[in-house]
Amino acid sequence: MIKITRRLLLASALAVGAVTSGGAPQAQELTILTSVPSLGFPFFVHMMKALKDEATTLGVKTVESDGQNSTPKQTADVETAVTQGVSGIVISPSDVNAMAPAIQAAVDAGVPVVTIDRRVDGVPGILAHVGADNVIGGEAQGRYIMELFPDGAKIVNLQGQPGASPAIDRNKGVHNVLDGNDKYQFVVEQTANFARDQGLSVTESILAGMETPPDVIVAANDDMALGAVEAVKARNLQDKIKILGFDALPEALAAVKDGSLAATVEQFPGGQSRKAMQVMVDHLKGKAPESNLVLLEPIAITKDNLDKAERLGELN
Amino acid sequence: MPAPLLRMAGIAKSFPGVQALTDVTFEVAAGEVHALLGENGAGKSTLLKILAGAQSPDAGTITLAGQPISLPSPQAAQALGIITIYQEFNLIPTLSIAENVFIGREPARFGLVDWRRMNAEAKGIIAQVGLELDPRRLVSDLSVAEQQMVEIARALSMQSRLIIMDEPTSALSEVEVLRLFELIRALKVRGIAIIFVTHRLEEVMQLCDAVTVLRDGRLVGRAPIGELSVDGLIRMMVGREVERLFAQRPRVEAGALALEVEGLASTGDPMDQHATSLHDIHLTVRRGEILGLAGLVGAGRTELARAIFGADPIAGGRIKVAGEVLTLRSPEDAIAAGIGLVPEDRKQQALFLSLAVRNNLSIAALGRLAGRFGFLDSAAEDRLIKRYGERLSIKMASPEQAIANLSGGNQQKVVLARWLALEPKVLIVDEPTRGIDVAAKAEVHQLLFELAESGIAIIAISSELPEVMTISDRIVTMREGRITGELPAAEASEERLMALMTLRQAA
Amino acid sequence: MSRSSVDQAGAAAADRQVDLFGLLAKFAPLIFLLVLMAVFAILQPRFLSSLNLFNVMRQVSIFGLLAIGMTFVILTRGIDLSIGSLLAFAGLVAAAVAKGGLESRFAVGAGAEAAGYGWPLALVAALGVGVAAGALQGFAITRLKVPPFVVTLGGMSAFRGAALLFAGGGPISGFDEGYRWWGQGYVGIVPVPVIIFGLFALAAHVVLRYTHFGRRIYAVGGNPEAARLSGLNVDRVTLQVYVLMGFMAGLGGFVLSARLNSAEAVAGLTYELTVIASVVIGGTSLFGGIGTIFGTVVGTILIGVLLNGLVLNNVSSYVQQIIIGVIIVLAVAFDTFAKSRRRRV
Repeated sequence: MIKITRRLLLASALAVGAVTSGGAPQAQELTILTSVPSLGFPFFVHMMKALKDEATTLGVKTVESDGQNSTPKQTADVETAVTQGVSGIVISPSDVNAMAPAIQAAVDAGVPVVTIDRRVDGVPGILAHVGADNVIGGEAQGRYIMELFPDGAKIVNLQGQPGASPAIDRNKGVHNVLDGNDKYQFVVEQTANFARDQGLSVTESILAGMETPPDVIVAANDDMALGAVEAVKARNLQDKIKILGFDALPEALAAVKDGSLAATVEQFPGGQSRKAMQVMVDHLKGKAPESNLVLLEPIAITKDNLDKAERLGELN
Repeated sequence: MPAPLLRMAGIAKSFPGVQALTDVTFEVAAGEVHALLGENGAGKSTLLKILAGAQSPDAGTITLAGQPISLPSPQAAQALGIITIYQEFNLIPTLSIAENVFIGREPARFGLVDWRRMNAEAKGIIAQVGLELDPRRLVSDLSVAEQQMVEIARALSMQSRLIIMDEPTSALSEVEVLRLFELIRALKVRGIAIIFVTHRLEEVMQLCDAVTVLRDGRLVGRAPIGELSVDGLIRMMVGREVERLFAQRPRVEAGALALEVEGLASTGDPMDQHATSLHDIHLTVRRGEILGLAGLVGAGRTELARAIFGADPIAGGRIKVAGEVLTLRSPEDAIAAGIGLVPEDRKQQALFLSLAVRNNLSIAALGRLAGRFGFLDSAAEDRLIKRYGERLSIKMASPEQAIANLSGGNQQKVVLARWLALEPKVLIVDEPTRGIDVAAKAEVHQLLFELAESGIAIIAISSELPEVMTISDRIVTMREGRITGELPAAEASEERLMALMTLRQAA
Repeated sequence: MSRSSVDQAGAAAADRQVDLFGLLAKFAPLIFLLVLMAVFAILQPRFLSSLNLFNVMRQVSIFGLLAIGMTFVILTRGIDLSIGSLLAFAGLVAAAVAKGGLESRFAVGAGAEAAGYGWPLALVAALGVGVAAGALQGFAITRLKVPPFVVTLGGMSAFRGAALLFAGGGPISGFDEGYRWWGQGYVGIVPVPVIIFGLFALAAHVVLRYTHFGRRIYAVGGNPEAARLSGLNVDRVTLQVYVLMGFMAGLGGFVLSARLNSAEAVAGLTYELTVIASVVIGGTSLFGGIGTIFGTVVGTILIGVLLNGLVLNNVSSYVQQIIIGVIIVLAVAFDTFAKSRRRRV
């Protein structure tokens, strides 16, 4: 049933395209909704850019959707796109549970959906998920801490926005690796809401409250880590405290390069995005995906493997 | 004298630093209209608040129809049939008449408001007070008098036994006052007791059966009305002989033309349906002259004052001060030309209730108190406040006292001082003595006389005809936005003025 | 004891009571702050260390700058929801000026500095953006007669969009020492942002108390109609207040970017709510006409102490949010209670 509808839709899209543009190559007529949670965050800007670049390479058109950090907004964008008759949807959902109904509705309407980065469970019929596991990313942070401090360390943990799934998963990853090993102590765990100003002020407060400075500050994203860098520099402790970020933002890569950050975690959002777009276009051209789950392994980026970072080119 | 319906005995109430009531006894009989009198600060408000359940007494007993009662809350008072109609009405302007009448006790069917029944019953209830209006109309669309009738109608619909009216006539025109009195007499016949608070002693003589007078929180006396004269009442209230209620002003020769209004017209305010539009107004006021403006509510007196003051736009005509034609875009322009306005509604339009006397007094004169770099010349401000505080004998603890804690009379003096500080050429006073007590009234009148003598041209608006006749040199009457007549005060009588105010053609 | 002397004693006692409640009402937020600080000091002695107290002051100084402007706005019965967005936008513009454009947005070092226009021009640019945005909003409020809530709600969205558009979503970071001094430097032992906050608080206090402008603000907020009928140009005062607010947001954006050594489009999210809370905790009435800079400073510090004290005691972030919500309501309730006791007198 779904298949038939999808074919019909495709056929009609082709027919319309044929009439309006007078027999251009078929891929030109494919329009794909690319939706990210918020273009307010550089991470998703980068993701969106990769999606668009890959679409241009593959010769398909995109409709851009900015979720503006709001599930209703992203839901409305998806609904509108379905109504407009897009060929497919590539989406990074702002909230995996709250976005499930909208994605389900799109699937039911015969529009193929590929999710990136954040995986939606419980919606049968999603074409594929391409992502990096945040838990594994957190584990990469934890492992790098063990590498830096084989004899143990006192750790300050700057957590992400309470309740947000990347915050939960990354935190879980760090604990997975370090818990159960008495050498590694989480002395303070506080949220800084993924924000740089709070990363700074929370770190200031934490440092003021400690007799001796910690060995490591591990942050659930680069913004908080960069805020912590400023707080640590202000106390002149940069030689004593190693700081770890997450996301491999260009700014963080610059900080890794100059040594103020010890490491950040690369999840290859651009690679995920390109892969997702490839899977979608292949499907629309009739080629089934090899698997409906593509996971890219996150790695810790340090001074030694900076060249592996996706966005190194954005530094100048 | 019939047995009392309500008896309050030995009532005392103190606030930190103030003994508001001391051993006050107060009785009202069923079917009696009882005046409660006293100067501002005499304790009337406190006594009424106790009766309304808004405050509890420190000592004393209250009995209703022989039963001891306690009034812990306004709801408790209402449940016993004691209804208070406040000076500032308790209506919600954005709701309809019917909704206001039945607020909190809407007739319901199946748990939902039964609109049809509510509107039908409301129509009947307001008809009892002589209002023939659609009960679905919004209260904000009604005139002040109509709103008051709605309040009374609501009180009636609550099975009231005792209705307290706090200054019910202060916002009404003479005709409307007469209608209110008729209604009160009808309530009397139904056995409802009424406590009537007013500053207008003629009304007491005309309407009430008995009177209780308070002074400084103590009972001065109570008497049937027949045993008293106006002068006697005033003596009881102020505790001293008052030579005459309103001193007549020594007439002086008027000077040069100060204000000329030629063919003034306005289109009314689209936002305010009560506003009257003005048509072809011609007026002149000379230096040292007090021109009285008389008219019923809706005659356009306030609208004329606001138009001359630049507060509302005009559609045509010219305004000249000292021979010069003014362009008025805002009150700022009028003030620059030497015009001042003491507005009708002191609280809403004149006072900054959250601020001190100092700020209230000097606000219009800030431009004259300029020090360097935009700072206030505070020494000059202190001098200004001292000068006008003394000249107007404003009673205040200090200039830093909150204006809200001053009596109505002193508040009004502060507003007057605000304008005197600017040494205006023309001063318009709209209802200058509304809501202030008898002694303060006489003081305000005296002030106006002195101002006129100093060469200011004054336009005085008042709904009380005796007041207009007392303070004016010349009286102009208005009706529906037009001038209907003009009289020298010496030739005016209430009858002649009333005729000019109510008739289309000048008599 | 004679009757009259009893009366006198009673009256004197009553007077003392008046004073007590008067003082309580005047200093209610301060008393609440001191109690809160005492509790934190008992739970964690390091709370009172000079390092930590300066931390708190530095952390609140940017909120404080915004709260000073917001006090003026709220005193005139207004509100400004756009300040968080405007702060981000102004910060980005300043950063771009300092870096000489967006090309070398993360670069640090001598080469990068040479390409830029220096911090003085960056500061001027941030203030210019703030003033222009404030004037625009003030114009919409006074001329188009759109309520401040709506205008600034629009501004909140529009300025955030402008910030994202301007910087293409990304941050601009890595400033020279002269720029960073404004956020990270010290004069003696006092952090520069604290000095800026202190100076502006003092200036604002003087303006509100001793100048024509201040008098007009209270009058316009206390009773706009009476102000108009007293010859005040209500629209002009309103416009000036929003321009001032924009100026403070621009300054706040500049100082924040200097403090973080980075400007980003997502900076200042929800700052408007924190700032409004500080002002209200400080006793300023949302209905206009009542409020002081002293109260606002206390309210701002109270929020800062609350955030800092909870982190210092390592309170779980979930519980923190509950505590913050409850304390904000309690602080205002305490103030309202104190004032109502005085009013009854």
